[in-house]
Amino acid sequence: MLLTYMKLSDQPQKLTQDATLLQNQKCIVKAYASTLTLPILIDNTPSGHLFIGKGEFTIDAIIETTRGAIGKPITRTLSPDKPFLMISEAHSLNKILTPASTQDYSDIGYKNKEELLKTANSTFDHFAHRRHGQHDIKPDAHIFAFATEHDKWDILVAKKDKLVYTSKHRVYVSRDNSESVSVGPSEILVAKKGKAVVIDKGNILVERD
Amino acid sequence: MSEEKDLKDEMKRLKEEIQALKQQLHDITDQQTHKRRGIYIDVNDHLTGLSEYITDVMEGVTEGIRGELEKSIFIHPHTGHVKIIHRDREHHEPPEHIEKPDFNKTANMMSALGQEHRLKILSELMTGGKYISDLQNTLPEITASTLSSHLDVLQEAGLVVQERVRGRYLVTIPGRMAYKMATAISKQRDQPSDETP
Repeated sequence: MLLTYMKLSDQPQKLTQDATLLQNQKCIVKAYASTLTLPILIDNTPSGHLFIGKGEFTIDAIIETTRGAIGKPITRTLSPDKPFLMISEAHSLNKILTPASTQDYSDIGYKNKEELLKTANSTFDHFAHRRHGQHDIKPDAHIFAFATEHDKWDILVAKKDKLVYTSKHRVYVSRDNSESVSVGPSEILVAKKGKAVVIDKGNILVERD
Repeated sequence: MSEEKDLKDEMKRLKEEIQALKQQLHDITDQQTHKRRGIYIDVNDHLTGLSEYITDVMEGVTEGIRGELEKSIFIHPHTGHVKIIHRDREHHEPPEHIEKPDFNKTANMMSALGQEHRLKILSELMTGGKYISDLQNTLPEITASTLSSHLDVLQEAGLVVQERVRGRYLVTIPGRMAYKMATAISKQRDQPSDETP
């Protein structure tokens, strides 16, 4: 798919049940029931959603070595004041979506549809700024963008069991559960098929099979 | 006539000197021969001094060895086991300079280790990540709720980490080190004592 023009729908919908938006061996992204969504259109084709509501994501940024496991899960709770986006053609939520009502807006802290759309458009414009152009997104790939309190985005890109996650404090890359790279504030971990290099608080560990 | 007599006297004196030199040469050769055979020992001139010298050297060597042994060998007060201490010869920091850990954190970690079931759980995890159902199968003597509680304690102490997506439990690097330390201490303690009748 060639990403040429993105825009946000103005028809809010509501999740009628909890939805697992992505799950592989290393990460899971969930949106809970009553979360409101606005479809993202790319060249007028529904290609994702902007979510305003509750959810969570977890990434097991853990690397296994023969000397023991290093790292820990990254978990973040998603709340209505921090919308998040999913761009993917692989996931259809149509079966568990219903048009949002006035009560649905107030349930997540918005007075009405206009206030919700204002927040949604502001968030989307911030994300889409400079992202219009020719970007090739694979059909089975998921791209998530989670707004943070620093007016930045935590980005998660996943395709099958490959994933890349970037945040203010960490970059984590995992490929097929056998190759991993994790770069944090005080450590760098690189592992590939039983071999690992760990630089942690000034200590360097190199190990092989 | 007198010149002839002088020459004869001179020759006689030279012969006597030659004879004396031959005798000296014979004596020297004889001494060297006895030395080679190990027979010649001048006791009065050499033995006393040599004995004193050897005594001094041995006393110095003995003192040195005693000092090294005191620094390098630890004898367990109860079991009598002897442990050789391999010291870094270039690194002689006095004990008071040994880095002090965060005692509270260390005590919490050791407390997590100090339970038979938790040691068994760690032992199972040493072979690789496991689901709680795997642990229940291999450790049937631990009830499900107790197992979960123990895993929480081990996680809190940083000895075990759980994958949130798949749910497997993995032993961490500190956990592996702690388990090895505990088993090493246990083995050391269980070694038979020489003092035991």
